[in-house]
Amino acid sequence: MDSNFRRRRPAYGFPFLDVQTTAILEEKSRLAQSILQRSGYRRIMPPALDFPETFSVYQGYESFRLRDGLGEDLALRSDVTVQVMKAMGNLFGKDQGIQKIYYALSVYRDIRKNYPSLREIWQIGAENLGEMPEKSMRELLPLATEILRQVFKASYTILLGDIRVLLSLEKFFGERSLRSVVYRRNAPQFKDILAQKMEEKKAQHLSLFLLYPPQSAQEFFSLWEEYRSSFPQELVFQIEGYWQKLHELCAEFPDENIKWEPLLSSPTLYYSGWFFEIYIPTLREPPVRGGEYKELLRKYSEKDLPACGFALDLSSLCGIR
Amino acid sequence: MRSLRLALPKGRLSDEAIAYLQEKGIVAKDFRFDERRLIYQTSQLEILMVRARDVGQYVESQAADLGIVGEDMLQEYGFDVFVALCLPFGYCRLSVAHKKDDKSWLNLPTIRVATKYPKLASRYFFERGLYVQIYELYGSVELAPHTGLCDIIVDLVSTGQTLKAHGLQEEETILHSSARLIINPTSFFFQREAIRSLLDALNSS
Repeated sequence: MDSNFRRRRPAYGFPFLDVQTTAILEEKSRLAQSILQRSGYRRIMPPALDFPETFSVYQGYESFRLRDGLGEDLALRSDVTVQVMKAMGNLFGKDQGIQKIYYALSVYRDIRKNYPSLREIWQIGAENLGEMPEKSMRELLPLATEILRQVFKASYTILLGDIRVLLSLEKFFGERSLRSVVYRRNAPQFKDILAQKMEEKKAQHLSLFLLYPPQSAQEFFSLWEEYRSSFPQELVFQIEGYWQKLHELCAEFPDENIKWEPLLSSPTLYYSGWFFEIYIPTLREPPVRGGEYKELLRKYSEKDLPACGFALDLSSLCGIR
Repeated sequence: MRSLRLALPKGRLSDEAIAYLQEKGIVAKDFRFDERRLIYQTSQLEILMVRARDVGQYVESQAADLGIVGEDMLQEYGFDVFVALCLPFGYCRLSVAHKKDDKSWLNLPTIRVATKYPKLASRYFFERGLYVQIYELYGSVELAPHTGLCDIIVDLVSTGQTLKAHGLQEEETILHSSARLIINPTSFFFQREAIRSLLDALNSS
């Protein structure tokens, strides 16, 4: 029998990082960490195990479940932000001030669809707790892009949106499926939802317009005039307010690769305000996601404090599939 | 920048898709398929001919920027792609069918179902509280009830003539399907203007 065949990998195992891959990953991680450290971020190391409910409520990925000797259910870490908010929430109650922290570790996700696909994903993430969202975003977005540019020499496109636009529409239509429809930019399904409140033809044009908007904000706003009467005035003022702030935030960045998105959704449920995704041409999933998650911190904190952050998928950027 | 790459399913759907693209002025009127070729270059598009169930995979994994695929395939396989347009062709329905005038299967404790759509079929029966055993087949599903492989089938029906010709009768429709234009998310964000003008052309009346 051919030796390569006998020595092939088990069918559905985690990818094993050999010496060469480990060296690449370590080097990139070290460079990215030094960028965060220079900006005053300090490292934390959350545990790899947690209770399953920590992960199950806020994010769309499946966690791996385990059971300890006493029968207690546990889960392998599939998301770090929820863990950080849970731990830091208690500290905030004791007036710890602004916290700038980062982590460099792996998460474990079962991203199966038709076949099992078990992945260990190396991530680097930064969290900015207690700082005003505008200020946090002005700091976090350039940090994420600096890592992409300097460490990975990658070209990119940043999509910046506000989850509150989606939440306002969700409330107006009373449609809980809107989040997944917008995430997959499913215009035919979105049209069906819009058609509950407007004429079918208009709903069809509006669904394409909102999900596949023109690149320039100027063009978007001039075309939007045609549609704004389709919604109640109160809702229009609300979402236009979010768009205006978003547009201002985008305009502040000197980076020409930033695009504002009128309607953006996320696979994780904890974002409650500004939200961004960074795409690079060679990867089908955005390797960076981040934003504001005030509501998540509120769940664990005695005080009403802002929280923002991002996570960067080091594995896919290093070509580990 | 390279032209947009479109994956089309081989067979009837590709003929209807090309006729539609010609009608919208995206593909030249004199475009013809050659039986053996798998790649075609037009002025705006590079067209890949793939199997119907592979279109979503090509687009999801960015081997193609766009694809035309049936709603049935999207629902069965749940590809991670954007779904931009519902196109006016490829109409069919996914239906439950059984041997003509034979409803004895309704009383069975476990119903054996042959289908090319195991996910949609099992979800449908599960929601109705029926216990089924699914047999996944890749073709000639109409044959299965006559050979004793299964009690009923779940298959695509267009006119109903094929079912009739094989002594089968439609019981209920699970899903109405037509063609969809799908887009790879990364392709959209990096070639937004080209894709938007294609969408505008396809959406024009």
